[in-house]
Amino acid sequence: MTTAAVPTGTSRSKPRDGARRMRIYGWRVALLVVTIAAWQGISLFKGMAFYISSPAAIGARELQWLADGTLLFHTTITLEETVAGFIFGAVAGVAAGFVIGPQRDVGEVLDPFIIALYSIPKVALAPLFIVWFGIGIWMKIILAMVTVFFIVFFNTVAGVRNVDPDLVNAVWLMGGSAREILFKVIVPHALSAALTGVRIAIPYALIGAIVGELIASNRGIGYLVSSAASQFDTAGVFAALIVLTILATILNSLVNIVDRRTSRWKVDADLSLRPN
Amino acid sequence: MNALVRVEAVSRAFFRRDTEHVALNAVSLEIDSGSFVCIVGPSGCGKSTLLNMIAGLIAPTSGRITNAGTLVEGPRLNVGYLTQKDTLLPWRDVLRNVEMPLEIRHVAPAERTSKALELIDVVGLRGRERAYPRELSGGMARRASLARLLIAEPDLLLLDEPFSALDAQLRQEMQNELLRLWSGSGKTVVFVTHDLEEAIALGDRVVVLGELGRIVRDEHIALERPRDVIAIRRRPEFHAIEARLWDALAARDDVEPAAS
Repeated sequence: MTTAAVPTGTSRSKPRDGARRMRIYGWRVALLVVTIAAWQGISLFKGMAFYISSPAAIGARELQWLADGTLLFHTTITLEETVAGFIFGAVAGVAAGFVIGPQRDVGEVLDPFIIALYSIPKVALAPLFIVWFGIGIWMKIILAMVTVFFIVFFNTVAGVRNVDPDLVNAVWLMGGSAREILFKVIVPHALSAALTGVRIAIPYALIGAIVGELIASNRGIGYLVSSAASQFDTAGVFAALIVLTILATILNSLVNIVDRRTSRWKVDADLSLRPN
Repeated sequence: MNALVRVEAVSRAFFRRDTEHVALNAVSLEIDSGSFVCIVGPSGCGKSTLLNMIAGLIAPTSGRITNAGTLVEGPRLNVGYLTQKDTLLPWRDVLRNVEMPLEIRHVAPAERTSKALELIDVVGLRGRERAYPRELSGGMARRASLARLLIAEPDLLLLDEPFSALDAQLRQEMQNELLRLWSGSGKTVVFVTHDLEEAIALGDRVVVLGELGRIVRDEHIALERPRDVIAIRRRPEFHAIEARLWDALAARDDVEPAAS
């Protein structure tokens, strides 16, 4: 008997795939060009430029910021806050999840409090963080960290608790000790669930940082948006939003890379073994 | 033949919402060393409970089970258990899954890898060593589970509906594969199924369970070995046995004592 007898059939290649992809990219470019042209056209009407600026003005602003270093300076600040908040939040979330997860009684006592804390819109915490940490970079880092923490924490706890009892039994039947069951089944399972949380949390770190900057700051992309808006500088607002969009898109593709790297063995969201 | 496993007047009750349910009532059974015994019965007859107790996963409420003369009190290293559901660890590839039982026994890495590769080859999974469970088809996952089961070199194999999730053709393929791996190995197999044909095609002996695990028929299967599970189904003797066992399953109320 050979493995050839077992159907594998997943890699069906479509000969027309390439042509179809080209067509889709073509339409995307067309849509972008039409939108920009329409935008430019409408902005020519009297008074409209005040509300929607114009692609030409936004482009000019972008070039000016690029030349005078504004863009690099503020983007760096926002990235620092995002990355620091993400790392602190993810590490704290995994650690807390592994400490609290296995202790069912402690978990049950803390449950309503954690849910209550989680339910607070994080934006509402910003004024408190300003009182505690000032309006500097730490306030944004903490805001991003708190957002990331809860997402990673909940996923890790779920990972520790929802280990398939059949997997535990299987290792027990092989003669595995409690310690081996912990390190060979529960920890890897929880880590892969934690990774799912980490993946989801990446864009939230950016949201935390930007919200902090919008509320109180004199630097960062969030500050660029709000300061331009307060001067009725629509071109500045759009220019900053475009930078933000690019940053968010890069972070999202990072998520996709993490996804592709782990999807070969990742535990499903419903924690079952294989989709059958 | 001497009995490897002795099930002596075993009962098992469990509680669900404070009500006692009886799964098995005073079941006695002897399984000869080196034999292939199939246990058939309708769902809810307690056949899986019986297997779980032989494996040492759960304890009987009353009665006793011995394996090679000693009381079963927990999982044993010389017993291999394969359930209907795949329990391959999703974060390990095929090779590392198959190595797992040896890893637990602290076998040196080089030795366990070479042994795992050998078994992966035996079950026909060569070339898939680095695949993760979610990348395997149902049949390939079964083969990997089988390799993991065999690497521990158990004397007693407990198989709980191992092929019931597979389609008919693949099931027959896996049945032949199992017979090929078992023949001449001297291993004892207890195979639980609800499929009468499967039981007859594989077993030396078919034990039909009724309600609460009462044995309604215990039939010696006098078909030649080695067998091909597809060819053997066409034999007239096969159909005669099948008819007898069907009658036993259908008329579960009249006690029919063991034949041979």
